[in-house]
Amino acid sequence: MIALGLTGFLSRNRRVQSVVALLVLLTLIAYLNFTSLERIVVR
Amino acid sequence: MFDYLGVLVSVIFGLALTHLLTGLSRVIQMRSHVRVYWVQLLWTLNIILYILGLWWGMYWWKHLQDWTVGRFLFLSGYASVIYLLSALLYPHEVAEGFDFETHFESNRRWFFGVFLLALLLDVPETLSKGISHLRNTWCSCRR
Repeated sequence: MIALGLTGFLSRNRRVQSVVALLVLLTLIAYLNFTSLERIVVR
Repeated sequence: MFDYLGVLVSVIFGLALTHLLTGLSRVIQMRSHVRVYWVQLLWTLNIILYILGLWWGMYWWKHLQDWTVGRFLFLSGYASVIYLLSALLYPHEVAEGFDFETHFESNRRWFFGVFLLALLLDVPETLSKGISHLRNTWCSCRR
């Protein structure tokens, strides 16, 4: 995610910006899929 | 203690979400009078999910008994950075003919700079939690 943020910071290219935004979305969805509120609460 | 201290953090997250949703509704209402940029819309979705994920994981802090000013400042500072991220995506006023791509591009360095700052602040937060809040999805798939 930090690498994606750095890429977005450095690149002005529209296509790169689109790819960065999409990859961040996929990463966030994957992360949310792996978290479990039950495990947070139980702990 | 968390119930009291968490209120301010909740308010800051709420303001960030409100700013994003207000900006999004403005884009929808003025869609034929402004130049919409889909990457900026995607970032709106990203930041909304980011805030919801942070909110989801923040419950972990409820178990913490030893609250210090440092921890409180860290959490409220982290929330403030997230608000700033939201504020950089949408201006407070949108006039006819507004170009969201130009706006995104002119704020790009600030936006990604603040995004990187948020990710760096997330490192100690994630390290303190460890992996206790993660589901073992990969193992459950193999069964």
